[in-house]
Amino acid sequence: MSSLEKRYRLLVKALYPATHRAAREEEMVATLLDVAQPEQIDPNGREVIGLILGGLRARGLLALRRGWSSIIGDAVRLGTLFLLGSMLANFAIVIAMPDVLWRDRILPILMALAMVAVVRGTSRIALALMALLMFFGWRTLFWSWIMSDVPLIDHLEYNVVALTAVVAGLAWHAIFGGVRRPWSWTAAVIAVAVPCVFLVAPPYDIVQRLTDITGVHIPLSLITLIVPVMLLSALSVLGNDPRPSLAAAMYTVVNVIAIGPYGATTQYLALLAGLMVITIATGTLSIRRLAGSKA
Amino acid sequence: MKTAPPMREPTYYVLASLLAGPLHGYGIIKRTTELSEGRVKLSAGTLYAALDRLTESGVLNPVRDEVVDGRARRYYALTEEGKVAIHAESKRLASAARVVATQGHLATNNGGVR
Repeated sequence: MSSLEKRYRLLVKALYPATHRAAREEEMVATLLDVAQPEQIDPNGREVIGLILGGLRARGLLALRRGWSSIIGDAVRLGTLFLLGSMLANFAIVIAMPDVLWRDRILPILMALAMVAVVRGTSRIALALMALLMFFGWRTLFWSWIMSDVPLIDHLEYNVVALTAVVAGLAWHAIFGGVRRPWSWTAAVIAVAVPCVFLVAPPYDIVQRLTDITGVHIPLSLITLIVPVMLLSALSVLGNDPRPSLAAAMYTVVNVIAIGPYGATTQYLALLAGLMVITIATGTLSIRRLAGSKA
Repeated sequence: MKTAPPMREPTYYVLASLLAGPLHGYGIIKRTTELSEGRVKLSAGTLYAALDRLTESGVLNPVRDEVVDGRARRYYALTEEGKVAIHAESKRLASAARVVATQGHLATNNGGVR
């Protein structure tokens, strides 16, 4: 096997779902090698981009074959994963802090484990981890909510709303989720690693650096909102796959509820509305394209 | 009869490339580039995404497998439905082209009258 073939095979393995590979890997690799120059050693950049797109589209088509209940189930699962990720992004720093109670220090670990459980498709284990998270972390997670005298709705903290949505999503999944196919371990590692970037590069550093670059102060909450929503919407459009957009919509709705009618500037509400429009537009576009292939 | 939505250019050329007979992946890539005079350059990833989609919608089918020089080749052919679809699309494009041709002609005539 030539080194070019090895590399293309590795890319196909990394980017395509297993069922698709079983049917197509051999002819795809053959075609990639046919297209290559005689002495070529490195995969061609254009072909790599094509494989990334192809991998996303193969997933979209596979989802369509499984049917709408599976599409909704995956979207809820993906939304749950991103909500847990955003909580982990907020809490990752706790691990590294000095003078923190052990029961607070384990909160990010429980969140990370719950993320792994979601990726692996074991929603009951994830639910159990959420129960542990609330048992050990209720003081920290809900502190400002419990200590305030104002009615609940005024002070719906992000954590409370996100946690409620996560538990609801997991419960929905445990009851109606149907077959819970595990996603890959690689996906689990990536999912947990990304929010942990905030552990290595402290949030205030990132915010400061972004302020330096753009000249505008962008709060962390905005970064953890905009980046995932844009990323998911882009994945939907590129892969003709409504699932990421639906997950992004779920993520945005949680943020809308969390900010509530209080404390939100007009600009912020406009931003949330804009993000909602983007998720709806990209979702609709991908659904239309996907439905087009079944017609 | 329901009119199909307009085809995207790569889809059109992929189907057109199979009019003369079955081709394998690399064959389709070369033929689409030729037919489109270099406008459509499919990468393997986008080609197979298109083949998946078009097989799913029933306009083409894999017809036979071969191994040449140790490389797997699968040949694809248009189905009857595919032939109907590509011809319908070519008629649509032709009539769309006629609109511009006639309007362009009128404009030239008017220019002449002035």
